[in-house]
Amino acid sequence: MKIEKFYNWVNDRLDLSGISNFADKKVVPVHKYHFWYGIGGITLFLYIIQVLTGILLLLYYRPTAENAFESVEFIMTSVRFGWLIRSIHSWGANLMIFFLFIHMFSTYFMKAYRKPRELTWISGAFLLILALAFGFSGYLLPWNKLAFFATKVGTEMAAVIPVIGHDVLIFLRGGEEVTGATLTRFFGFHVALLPLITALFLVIHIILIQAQGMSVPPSLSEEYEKKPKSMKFFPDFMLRDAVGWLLVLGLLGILAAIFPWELGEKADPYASAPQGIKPEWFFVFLFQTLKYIPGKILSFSGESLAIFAIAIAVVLWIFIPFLDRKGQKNLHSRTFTVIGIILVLYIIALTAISYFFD
Amino acid sequence: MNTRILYALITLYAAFPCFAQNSGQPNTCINCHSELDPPLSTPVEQLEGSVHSHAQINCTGCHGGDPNQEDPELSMSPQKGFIGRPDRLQIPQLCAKCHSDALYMRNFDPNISVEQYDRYKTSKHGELLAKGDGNAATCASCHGVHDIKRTDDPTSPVFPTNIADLCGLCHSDPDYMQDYSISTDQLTEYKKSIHANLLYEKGDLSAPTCNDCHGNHGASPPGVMSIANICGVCHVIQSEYFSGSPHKAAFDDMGLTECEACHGNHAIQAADDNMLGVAENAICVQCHDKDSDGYRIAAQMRSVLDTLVHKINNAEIMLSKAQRAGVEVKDENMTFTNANDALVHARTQIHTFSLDKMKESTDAGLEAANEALSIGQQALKEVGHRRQMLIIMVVLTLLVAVLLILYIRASEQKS
Repeated sequence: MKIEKFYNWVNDRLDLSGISNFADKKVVPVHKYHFWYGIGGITLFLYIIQVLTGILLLLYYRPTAENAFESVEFIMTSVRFGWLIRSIHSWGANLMIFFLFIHMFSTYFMKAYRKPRELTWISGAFLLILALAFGFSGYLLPWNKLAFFATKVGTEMAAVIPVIGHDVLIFLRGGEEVTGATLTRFFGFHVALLPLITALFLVIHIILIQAQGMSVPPSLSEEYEKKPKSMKFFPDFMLRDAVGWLLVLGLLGILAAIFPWELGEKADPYASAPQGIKPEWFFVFLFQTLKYIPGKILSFSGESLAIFAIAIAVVLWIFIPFLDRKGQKNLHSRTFTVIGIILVLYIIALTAISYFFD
Repeated sequence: MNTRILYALITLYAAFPCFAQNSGQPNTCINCHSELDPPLSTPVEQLEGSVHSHAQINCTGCHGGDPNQEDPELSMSPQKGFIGRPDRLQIPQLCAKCHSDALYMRNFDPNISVEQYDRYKTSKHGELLAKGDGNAATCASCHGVHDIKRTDDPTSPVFPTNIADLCGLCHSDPDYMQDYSISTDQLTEYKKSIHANLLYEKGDLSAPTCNDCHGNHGASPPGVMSIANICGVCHVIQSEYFSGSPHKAAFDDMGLTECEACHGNHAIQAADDNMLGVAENAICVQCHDKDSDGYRIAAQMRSVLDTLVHKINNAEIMLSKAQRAGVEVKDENMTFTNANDALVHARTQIHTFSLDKMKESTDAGLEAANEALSIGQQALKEVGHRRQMLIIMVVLTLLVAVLLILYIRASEQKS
C-alpha cells in the first residue's frame, strides 16, 4: 500500500498517466524466436554493471604511466572487494561485447532492420563500434605488458590509413610512441568521451525500440498476422528479462570467482614485445585477416588495401537496411541470410585459427 | 728560424710515416693497385671501410713511398721510404710507431690507450717473436691487415663474440701448436662453459672470453698465484671471502690453483649446490677425508643450504598457487625476494668455508622464506573464502531467478 501511496504522490505532481498508459498497452510479439528479444536487455544490463563498477574503480585508479599499474594493483590487493569489482568490470566488458554480437546477429537474421526500423539498426551499429572502442581504450588502462604491446600493434594499424593515417596515429597515441600520454587520453576516451556519446546513442536506440515495438521476422509475419499472439511488456516481458539478467549476474560471479582477471606485469616500453601478442578476442578475426594479406597487392600496400576493404565492409554493414531491397518490401531475403551465415562462420573460424592453430 | 722549423717537420715526417695522411691529392698507390689483378688489388678493396681509411691514413702510413708520383719507380722508391711488404717480425714496431705515440693518437681518440706494444713485449707472443719465431701472433694476426676495424665493430675479429674463434684459429690447430707443448682443446672447452653461454646465448658482452682472463696484448697464461685475482676482477666478493678463508693458505701450500682447483678453467660451469658437501660428486671430498673437520663442516654447510632451498621452493609453490588463483602477492613477493637474496648471499659465503658465517645468511633466508610461506598460505585461505562467498551469492541469485520463473509460470496459468 505504501508503494501505491508513493505512486499517487508522484502522480499528483508529475502526471504519470502517459507512462502508465504506454506501459499498459505495450506488448511484445510471441513466436518461436521471441527468446532473442531478451538479448538486447542483457547487453543493456551489462552496460549498467560496467558503469557502476567503472565508477567504483575510478575512486582509486590513477591514469599516469607511473601510477596506473600500481593503482590497479592497490585496488586488487588493498581495497575491500577491489579484486571483485575489477574482475567483474573486466569480465563484464567481455560479456557485454559477446552479447552485443549475439544481439546484432539475432537482429540481423530476424531482419529486424526492415522499414521502419532502419535508424534503430544504425544506432545499434554505432553502439557496437562504441563498445569496441570502450574495449580497446579500457584494455590499456591497467598499463600492463600485454595491454601495452596490444595497443602498440592496434594503433599501428591506424597508420596505414591513406593520407591521414599518421595524423590519426599521433592523435590516438598523443605522440609517435605509446607512452603515458596515450594512457591519459585513452582514459579520457574511456571515462568521458565514449560514455557521453554512448549515452546519446543508447537513449536514441531505446526510444526507437519503445516507439516502434519489436519486429516480427518476415518468415513469420504472415502466420503472425493470421494468429497474433503477444505478451504485455510490463510486467510479463520485464520479468522474463529479469530472469536473463539474474542468470548473467550469476555467470559474472562464477567467472570472477573462478577465473579472476589477472593483472600481469607492468608495461616496460623498453622491453621487447612478448611472443604471440594478440589483440582482445573481439578484434582477433580482423587481426588474423590482416595476417593473410600479402605485403603488396599490385603496387599498393596489402595492409592498407585490407584496412580500406574492412572500412568499406563496416559502412555497408551499417547501411544494410537500405541494401536489402526485399527486406524493405517485408520479404525474406535468402541472399542476406547467407551473407550473415558466412560472416558468422568467418568470425568464428578466424578466431579459432588464431587461438588454436597459430 | 723558418729553415729550422722546415727541417724539423721533414725529420718528423720521416720518423713517423703515419703522418702521411691523405691530403686529397691523387693517390697513385690506389690508382695503380685498383687496376691490377688480385692479390695486388685486394688491399685496395680491403682498405675501404677500415679504421685507417676512416682516419685518412693511406698506404704510405705503413709501406712508405710517395703516392704523388705517377712513375712506379719513383713512388715505390726506397729513397722515398718505401719498405714494400713489412717484415712479419717487424710488424709490432711498425704499428707501435703510431699506436705508442700518445700525442699522435690523441688526434683520433683522447682516451685511447698507447701501451699495447709495451704489453705485447711482455706477452708469450711477444717473447716468441723476439726470439725470432715467425709463427708467433703479431698485431696483424688478430686485428687483420688492410681491413682493420675498430674493436667495438661487431665485424672486427677482436669483437668480444669473435675473440674465442680468433684465438682458436691458432690455438685449436694441433699442427700449428705442436712445437709449443700446449693443449689445443681450449676453444672446444670454452664453448661448453657458462661464460660462453652468457656471451653467445644471452648476448652478454661483459661475459669473459679469452682475453679477459689471459689479457689481450699482454696475453699469457695466468700464474697459479694470480688466478684468484683474475677471477676476482668480476667475482669480487667470492674472491675476498676466499682470500680470508683457511683455504687460501692451504691451497698456497699445496700449490693448488685457487678458483680453478674447484671450478675448472676453460670449461667452467655454473656453480651448483652439488659441488658442496660430502656426496660422491661433491668437490670437498676430493681433499677432505671422512673423519676430518673439513668433511663434517662441508656436510653441515650443505645441509643448511638444502634446508633453505627447500623452504624457498615451498614458498614459491604456495605464492604461485595464490597468484594463479587471482590473489595479487606483490608484498609477499618482496619477502620471497629477500629469501632468495639471502640464498644468493649464502652461496657466496660458501667461499668463506665457515659454517657460522654462512648461517648468518641462511638464518635470515629461512626467516624470510617462512614468512613468505605463511603469507602464501593466508593468501590461499583468502582464495577459499572468496570462492565460498561468491558461490553463496551465485546460488542466491539463481534461487531468485528460479523463483521468478515459477512466478511467471504461475501467472501464465492464471491468465
